[in-house]
Amino acid sequence: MDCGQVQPRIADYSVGLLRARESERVQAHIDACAACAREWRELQAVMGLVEQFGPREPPPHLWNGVYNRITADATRERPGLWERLLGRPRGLIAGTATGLAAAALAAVLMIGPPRGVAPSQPPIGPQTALLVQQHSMLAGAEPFADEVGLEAYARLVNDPTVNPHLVR
Amino acid sequence: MKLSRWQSLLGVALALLVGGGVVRAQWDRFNERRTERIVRRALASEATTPYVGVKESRVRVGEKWVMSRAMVARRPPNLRRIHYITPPLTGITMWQNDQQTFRYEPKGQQLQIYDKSRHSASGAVEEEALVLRNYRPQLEGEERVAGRMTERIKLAPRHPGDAWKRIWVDPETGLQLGSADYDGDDRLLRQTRFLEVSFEPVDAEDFRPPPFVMKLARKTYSDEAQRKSVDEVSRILGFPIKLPRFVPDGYRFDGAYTYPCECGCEKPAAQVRWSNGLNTISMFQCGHPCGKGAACTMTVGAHSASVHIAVGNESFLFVGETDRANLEKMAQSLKGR
Repeated sequence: MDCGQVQPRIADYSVGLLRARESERVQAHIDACAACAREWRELQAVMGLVEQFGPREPPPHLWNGVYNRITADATRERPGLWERLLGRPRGLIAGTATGLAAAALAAVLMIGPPRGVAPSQPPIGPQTALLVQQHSMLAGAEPFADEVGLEAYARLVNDPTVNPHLVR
Repeated sequence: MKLSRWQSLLGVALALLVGGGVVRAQWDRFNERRTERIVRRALASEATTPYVGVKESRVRVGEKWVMSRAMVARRPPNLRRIHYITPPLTGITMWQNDQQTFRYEPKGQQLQIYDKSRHSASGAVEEEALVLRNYRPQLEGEERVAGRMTERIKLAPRHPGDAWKRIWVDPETGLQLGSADYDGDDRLLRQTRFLEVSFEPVDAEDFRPPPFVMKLARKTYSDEAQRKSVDEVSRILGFPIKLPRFVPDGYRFDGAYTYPCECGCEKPAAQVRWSNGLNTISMFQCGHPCGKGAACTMTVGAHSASVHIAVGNESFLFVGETDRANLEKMAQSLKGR
C-alpha cells in the first residue's frame, strides 16, 4: 500500500472498521512511513481530546473517510449521461451564466421531465404517502426491480421538502 | 389452362408476398425466442452475478423529477447494499441479507431492522414463467451503458394498461445495467442506470451495518416484510380480510403482511399484495373507520397510483402502477363482501 491508499483508510482504521488483512497492511505502512505515522498520531491526539471532554462519540470527520472522498468524487462536475443524451452544445450552455446555473441545479436536483411524462398527479397526503412508501419498499423484491429508484421513491414520497402536498 | 403473362406475374407476386410473410413471421419468432433467452439469462444473473458500482436514478415524485446517485453492491445470492451519495438522500443506506433488511438514516441516527421472509413465494422458475406470460420481450437495439455495449429490451405488456419496463442487458454477464419503468399510459416513472460497474465480488462483511451504527443508532424492529397467509394476518389483526372479487389479468396473490395503520389509531392494518412478475398491487385494509371519523372517498382524478374506498366501517387503499381503472375495479369489487 502507498500513502494515497492508506490515508483515506486511516479514519476507518482508527475505529476498527477495516477488515483484518487490510488493518495489518495499513499498520505496516504506518510503521514504515513517517508522513502517515504523523497523521495517525494527530488523529490519535484528537481522539484523546474527545475522550477527555465528553462521551466517546466519533466526531463527524472521523468515520467513513472513504465515504467522504467518494462523495467528493461523485459530485465532481462531469458530463453526465443525461446531459450527453440531451446533446446540448457546450457553447450554448456556457454562453449564458444564468442558464448554466439553472441547468446545473436542475441536473442535480430536479431535471426537466423527459418525453412522455405524466401530467400532475393528485396530491398524496401524509397517510397515503406512508402506505405508498411501504408498497414501494416491498416492490424492490420483484424480478428486475429498480431497487435504487424504488428505495429513493419510498423515501422521497414521504419527505415534505420534496413532496409539497404532505401536510403535517 | 395457359396463363397470361399478367396472371403469371400476379401469381409470382402473390407467392412472394405469402412467402415473404412466412419468412418474416419465422424471423420474428426467432427474434422473440432469442430475446426471451436474453431475458431468462438476465433473470438468472440477478441471483448469480456479483457487482459493485455507482448507479444514477431519476424518480418522479408528484410533479418533480429528483435525481440521486448511489453506491451499490451485490454478492449472490442474497447480499445487497445501497448507499446514497447525493442530496437529498445523502448517507441513507440499506443492507440486506436473506433474513433481514437494515435501513439507516444518518440525520436522525435511526436504524430500521426488518425481518423478512427467507424465500420468495414462488421459485425462480415460476417467477420467470410469470414474467414471460405477462410480458413480451422485444429487442429494440444496442446502447452503451457504463462503458459497456448493452442490448435494449422492451418488456411489452400482454395485457393492455399494465405497467411495463425497458431493461438494458449486458450480453457478457447477463446483468441488467439499466432500467426504465412506465405506467399503463406509457409515461415514464423512473429511470436508473449504472454509471460505473465492476463484477468483482465484495467481501461479505461489507453487507452489514458497521459496528458504530449498530452501537449508536436508535433501532426499531419490524416484521412488515415477512410474508404471511391471509388467514394468519386475519388472526393477528382480529378482523377478517376482505379480498376483491376482481384482480387484473396476469396478477396472482403474492402474500399478506401486517402494517401499522396510518390514521393515528395505532392499530395494525393488513397489506395484501398481487404480482404479475414485474409489478405489484397492494391493498391496505384498516379494520375500522379512517381519518378520525372522516369518511374515506375515492381519490378523484386520472393517473393517480392510489385509490381509497370505504366499505362499511372499514377503509381500504389500493396502490399500484397498473391502469387506474384496474385499481378502481378492484376497489369496487370489495362492495358486498
